[in-house]
Amino acid sequence: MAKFTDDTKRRLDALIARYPTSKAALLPALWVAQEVYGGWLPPEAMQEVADHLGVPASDVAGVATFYTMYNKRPVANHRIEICQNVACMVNGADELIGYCERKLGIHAGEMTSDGGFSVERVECLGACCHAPALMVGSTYYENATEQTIDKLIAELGNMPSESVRPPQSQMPEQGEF
Amino acid sequence: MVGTPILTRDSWELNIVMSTQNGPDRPKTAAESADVNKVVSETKAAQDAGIPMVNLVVDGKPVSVPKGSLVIEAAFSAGSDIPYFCYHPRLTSVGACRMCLASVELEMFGQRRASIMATCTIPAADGMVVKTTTPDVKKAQNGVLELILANHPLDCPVCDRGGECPLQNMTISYGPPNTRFIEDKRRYVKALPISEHVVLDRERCITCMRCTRFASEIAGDSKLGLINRGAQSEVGPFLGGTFDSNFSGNTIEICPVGALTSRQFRFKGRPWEVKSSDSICTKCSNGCNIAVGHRMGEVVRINGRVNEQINEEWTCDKGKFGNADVNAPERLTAPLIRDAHGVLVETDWDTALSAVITNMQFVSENYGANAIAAFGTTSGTIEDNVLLGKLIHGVFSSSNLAYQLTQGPRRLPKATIVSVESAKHIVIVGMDLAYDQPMYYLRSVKAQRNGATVITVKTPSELAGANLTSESVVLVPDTLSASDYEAIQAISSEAGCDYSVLVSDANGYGPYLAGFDGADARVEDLHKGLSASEKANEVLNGLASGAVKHAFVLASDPVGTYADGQLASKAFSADAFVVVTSQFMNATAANASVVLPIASFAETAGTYLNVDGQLQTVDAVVPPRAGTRPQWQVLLELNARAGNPLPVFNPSDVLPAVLMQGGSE
Ligand code: SF4
Ligand code: SF4
Ligand code: FES
Ligand code: FES
Repeated sequence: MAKFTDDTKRRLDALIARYPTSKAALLPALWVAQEVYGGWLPPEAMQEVADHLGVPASDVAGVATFYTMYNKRPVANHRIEICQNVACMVNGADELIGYCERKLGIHAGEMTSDGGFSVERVECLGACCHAPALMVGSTYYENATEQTIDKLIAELGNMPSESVRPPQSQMPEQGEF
Repeated sequence: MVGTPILTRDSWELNIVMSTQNGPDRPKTAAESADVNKVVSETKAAQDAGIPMVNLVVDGKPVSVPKGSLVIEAAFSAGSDIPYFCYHPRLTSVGACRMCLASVELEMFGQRRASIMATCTIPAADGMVVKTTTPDVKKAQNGVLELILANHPLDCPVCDRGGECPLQNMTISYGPPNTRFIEDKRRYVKALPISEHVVLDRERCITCMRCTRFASEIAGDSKLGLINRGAQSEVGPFLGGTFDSNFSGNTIEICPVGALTSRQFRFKGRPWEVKSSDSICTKCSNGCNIAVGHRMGEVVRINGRVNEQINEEWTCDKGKFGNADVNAPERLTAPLIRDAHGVLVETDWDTALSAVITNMQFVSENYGANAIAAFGTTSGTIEDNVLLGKLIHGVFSSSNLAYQLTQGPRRLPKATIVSVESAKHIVIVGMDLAYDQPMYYLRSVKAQRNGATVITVKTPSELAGANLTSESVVLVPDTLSASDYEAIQAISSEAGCDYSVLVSDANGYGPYLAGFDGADARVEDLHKGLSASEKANEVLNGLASGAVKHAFVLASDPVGTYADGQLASKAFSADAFVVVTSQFMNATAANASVVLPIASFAETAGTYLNVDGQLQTVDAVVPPRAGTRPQWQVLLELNARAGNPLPVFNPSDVLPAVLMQGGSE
């Protein structure tokens, strides 16, 4: 079932206009689609992008699955993404992930049954100097400890989702890049 | 890991020396040889044609290759060998597998330096010095293969590709005999069907992207893609879909491993016991060149064979999996004759053939020569038609050789398969080119990649809005009505362009070459065009009115296929004595007095004239299915029984006779 509205299409057209070919607008177009589809990209979303950009659907799927920050499964309201790379790992990322898993009763890569939280192992967040680092939505939590986890779960529990990244406000408008 | 033997660096390096049989004489699959042959012959042709060349040295041998050739191609032309997987002479380069490493020395930043490069991505340039056999190159090749094999299941004993596998070949010639990897390999569901014809084994895939490039560049439908990345990369149709393309079978052939295999051929035999014989596909008019694989008399698979004028090296799925027809259990395997109760019952050949001749003689004596009629075949060979003409016209003196091709002009198309490739504006009227004229379609994809516009209109009247110019190539099916052809003629002649009617059957014009339908044509005449004839209508009316008492229908189904279906079914429900030769039961055969079961295309010999006028002769590949006979044998026997013994048939004898003397004499 198509979800792109006229407004979505206008946004896509504006993106397409920035590039020499419509295929080149694929990455930002997928961000828009991910937002429209509630934070992830089901095959229908990829198909809609393909149709609107005039790019084969198999190419869209290739790109969407290549990048880990496009979600291919429904996502939790709040995605706790914990860095597992070297700096964070030596500073206790694994223990932090374990704590989070036990606290929420799920494994990394899963989400809670109410769809409230998920825990994900991610690659370097660029915050190595304050390892271990994690992020929820677009908010960073550095020098994270078990208390950080407790606190953010308690605080975010009732808040609406901010799972779509990057927030549209941060996306450059016409003429940038 | 207690007890797991781990190779030491020393024993590893020692093993490199053990690779055997490398170089140009290494073991090669037919496809690998075809790749090299194509490159070498194109280089030769370019040398002769005076195309701009570049000069370089490969393994000490100077070679000059057309500008734009890749280093790997220059190496082939110089007689050297470079192992490869993702390189394919008909696909763009991606450098996905890294197998083609060789040392390339060239001028860089004012200095000559040599480095190991992927030669399928580097255009050959003047002054390059390429070395393919140095210890460094060997080590690099070993390393790449060791990495490719790190995740490859090596389940060759149960792999359909085993025995004709480029990965096996490259490994024996250029690979390490051992591996240092002791980790688990990736595991997937083994045989995943991705379409009616193709099964995918992701464990075996080496992500060379040949299949995905084929889908986007050659088939033009992008029905296969690559998802995820790194070791998780998988090939497949768009998420959750199926690989429904009319060209899916080609990916099985170009996959350099057993990742894409044929569901039909699966476990039907080891490749080395499958004999391969050259043949021509007769599933449509294009006449693709094929290699029919057979094992113990059974056709088990069909592969493409190179013919640059027609199919390059591809086939469509209709042809590729066309052996289903040959092996179909529904095939007729005994002659049928109508008994006293009016029911078709099985009989033996002698009874059936003498019933046919007895009736012909009776009719000709009692009602005159023209009470006998014959319908020519567009699926059989030219020789079949000639031999039927000899019987009906030569022996029984009937002039009723009927056959109806199309309501449009009866001439070979101006637009040949090859010519479509360089067209600028292609307009297709009322057909699905990919399914109806597959090789025209593949060339139109090529043209489109070179910037041509390709449009399809549903009806002739929409042609008016197609912006025709004198350069337009208009492709039209042979199934439209007379008024449609008039409309197309009017619109295209106004634009100053021609239009090409493309026949659908393997031998669409064959009956004309044998003197059917009032024609007594040579191939040149077909290029010019034949004048209209009412013969088929005349004979059908004669049948309907009872004037024609005996009709011999050669491997065709006028009731099911003639434009005036009503007239045809009326004609064939009258009480004439009707003889039909056929591989399967059909609408015309169902009403016949005698049905003669004939051999399939793989079991008979003869000549076909393809859609754009190319004559191709084939031999039988396997013996006919028990109970059936090749049509030419049936017709020879009928001629003999009618008192016209002909010399033993040989396609190459009959054909010149047709072309030199006209058919039916
Ligand atoms: S399936 Fe075969 S052709 Fe396709 S990428 Fe994998 S190895 Fe290459
Ligand atoms: S295009 Fe026609 S001749 Fe070629 S393989 Fe297909 S059916 Fe056979
Ligand atoms: S390693 Fe964790 S933020 Fe860089
Ligand atoms: S053949 Fe050159 S990288 Fe694959």
